[in-house]
Amino acid sequence: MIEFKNVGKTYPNGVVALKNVSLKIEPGEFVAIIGLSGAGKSTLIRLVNKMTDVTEGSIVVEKLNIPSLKGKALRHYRRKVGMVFQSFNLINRTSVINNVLAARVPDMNPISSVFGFFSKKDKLIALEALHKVGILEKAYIRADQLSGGQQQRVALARTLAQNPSIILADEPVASLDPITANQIMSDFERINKNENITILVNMHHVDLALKYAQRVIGINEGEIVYDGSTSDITENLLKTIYGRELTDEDIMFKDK
Amino acid sequence: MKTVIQTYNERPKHTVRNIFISVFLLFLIIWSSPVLSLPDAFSAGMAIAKNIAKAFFNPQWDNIFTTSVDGVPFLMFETIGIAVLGTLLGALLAIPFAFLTARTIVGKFNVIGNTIITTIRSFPFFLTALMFIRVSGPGPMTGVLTIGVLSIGMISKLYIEIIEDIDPGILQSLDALGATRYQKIRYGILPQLFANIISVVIYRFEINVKNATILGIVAAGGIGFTLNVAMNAGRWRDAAAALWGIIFVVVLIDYFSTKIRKKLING
Amino acid sequence: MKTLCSKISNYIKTLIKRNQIHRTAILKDGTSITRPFSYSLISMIITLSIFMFFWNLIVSAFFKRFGVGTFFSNFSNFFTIIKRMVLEVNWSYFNNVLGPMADTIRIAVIGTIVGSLIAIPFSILASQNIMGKSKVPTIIKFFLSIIRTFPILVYALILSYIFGYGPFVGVLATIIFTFGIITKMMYEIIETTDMGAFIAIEATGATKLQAFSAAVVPQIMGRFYSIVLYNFEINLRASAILGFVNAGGIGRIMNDQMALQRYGDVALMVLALLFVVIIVQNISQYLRKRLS
Ligand SMILES: Nc1ncnc2c1ncn2[C@@H]1O[C@H](COP(=O)(O)OP(=O)(O)OP(=O)(O)O)[C@@H](O)[C@H]1O
Ligand SMILES: [Mg+2]
Repeated sequence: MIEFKNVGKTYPNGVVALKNVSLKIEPGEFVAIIGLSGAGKSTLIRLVNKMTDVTEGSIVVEKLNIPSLKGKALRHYRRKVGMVFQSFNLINRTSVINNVLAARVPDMNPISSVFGFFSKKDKLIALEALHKVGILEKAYIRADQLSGGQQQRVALARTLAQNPSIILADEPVASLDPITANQIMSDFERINKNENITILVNMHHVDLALKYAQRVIGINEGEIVYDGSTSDITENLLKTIYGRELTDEDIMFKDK
Repeated sequence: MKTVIQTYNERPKHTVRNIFISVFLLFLIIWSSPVLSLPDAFSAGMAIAKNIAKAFFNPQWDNIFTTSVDGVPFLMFETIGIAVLGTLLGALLAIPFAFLTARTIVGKFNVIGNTIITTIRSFPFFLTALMFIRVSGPGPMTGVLTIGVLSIGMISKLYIEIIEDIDPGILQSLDALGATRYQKIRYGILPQLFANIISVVIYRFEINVKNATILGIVAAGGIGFTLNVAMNAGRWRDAAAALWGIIFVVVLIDYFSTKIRKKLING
Repeated sequence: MKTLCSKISNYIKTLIKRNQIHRTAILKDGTSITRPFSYSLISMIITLSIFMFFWNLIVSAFFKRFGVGTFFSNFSNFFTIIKRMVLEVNWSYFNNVLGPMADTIRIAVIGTIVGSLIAIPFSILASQNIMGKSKVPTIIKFFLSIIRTFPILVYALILSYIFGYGPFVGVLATIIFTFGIITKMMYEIIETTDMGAFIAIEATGATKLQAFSAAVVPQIMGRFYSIVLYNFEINLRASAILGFVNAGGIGRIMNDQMALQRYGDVALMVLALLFVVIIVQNISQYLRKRLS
């Protein structure tokens, strides 16, 4: 379970990104966080795996007090929390499978890790992960030769290969075309159902969030203005979250 | 509307600039012309040239098809060895220079590193060789040290470029999956740079083979010593054998180097 | 003999097959995937054995003869020379440096100018796209690759036995060296320029040369100047060592003073050289930036 209690985040330059955020996320939930650019979505997600430090309040994940984690304990915790980025962040000039295998590195013994000798078990884990996102046949191709959607799938497979109980995704489809974006989102949906992994995803596009997530958290200027089931969302609520009428930019499929 | 004549008259003119450049070049050439005066001892030259040309097409075959330590094959191996080890030494020595000169690490203090690198690059490498002879005596070991120092400039420049544009996103994603600092470098940075580094090191090796062929002139090992001695003694056919050794090796290495580098870059 | 051959080929076949099984992974749901054959391990082994071979040939042999200890204690000699160079810079040697330094620059100037002028016609003749189906480019490229195998000093060495000692030999060597590099760089550029305009002008009835000067020259002129400047930098550094084989310039007295252990004099020469090189480098880089 992820629990935020009165969390606040003020960046060193004085920007208040989050104010008094409290929320609880149960294991196996699929949560979409929506809000305008600069609302604090990335900040919220990055607090969960301590890529950013809180300035107020407390965060508890599976009974661990996140803000106090350091060094080895922090790395150990991060093994259980996968993260997917908007810009894929793959290791270019390396094969797809080596990218996925990078997720196994922290668990390797030091000597094999120096030489990059992966065990058969690790290789099978990596291949299984690629199979789950449907790009097994690309395993031995260089990562930079794949399309954007395929690259995001590799990133997703890399996360799966660390066998996480939570996946954080910061705008995973923002740089993809609508059709690919839908495919990636349904990958997330499938993983959420089949593997029972908690998924926390930042979205720019309301329609995708409503289509795939069970629960939506709306943020406006660092505060939660909506937290509830996807089905209860109304036009009016969206207006409060966005602080204005929705525009075409907020929706990926314009005909909707 | 402008008339044709007007447009013509307003055409961009560089008359002043062109005159300036021409005058400057003319001055340079006149100032430099004394080096064109033929040396006095030219009379015997034509005969020697003929002999050298004849020898070139009829080299000392015994020197080429031999395994003795003063034969061409062994000396060419020694020359390549100087280049191989020297290039690797240079690749190692360049690491600290690169870190001291990368702007992302030392900021404006990179002036110091840059000055040192420029000095090393402009330092005539025969001088370096003569200095290292006091360390390791005449022989290929001195050649290795010289080539190592000589390669610092180019290789550290490559490293600097690499350090200055490492993709932070990849480091972040490895951070997020719980990798240590060492693992981030080993798996996040090195695989991206590997092809680049190898390709530049091979290119530098190609240059170093050529440099290693002449180090022997100052007794720092390799084929150059034999070449120099043979020419001094007027043994043109021995010299020609050495020249063919150089041609053979350099062409061969050029060929493979280009091929490997192409493969590395295109994947 | 035949049976032996077939035995060996069978053995290799089984090896490949075994390797393929080794490379195949089978997933939980039965899907299988085969990793393509990777040469990385083989190339690693080859690289390592090349390294070991040369290490034994040069470094191990050296240590065996002279000992590791002497090698490292001798390093103090190296640092003593550097120390003396830094501390004993002999400014009064300046007048002796002026002449040879000027010669070094002169050799580079004339060598670069003449070498690049000769390179112009040859780079055109070596460009396949200009020469059509002719064999000339292939032949020229072959000779160019032979010319480029020798470093400038080898040319200087050979020529010094023909023309005697002095800067004239240095100039000739620089010309040959420059010619080799610039011709190559230029035909590579010419071969990759856009040929549309060339064909269009040729179609109006112009000769190849006319079409070349009208359509190609404007496209490549800037690059040519920039290559010439770049080569001038190289030649300046190179002509500093020409004197080591008596081909003129500052290298000759550098060699002499080094042998006499007058490190202060050597230091002054290095400084003078550095001064000239840095100035030329900055001017050349400025001009090259403006050209591009
Ligand atoms: N490292 C940082 N240092 C200072 N301020 C920051 C930093 N990161 C974010 N901010 C500020 O905090 C606020 C919230 O940023 P955040 O990145 O969480 O927004 P977001 O909702 O993810 O926006 P977007 O949709 O554009 O990604 C913004 O005003 C931003 O400028
Ligand atoms: Mg964001």
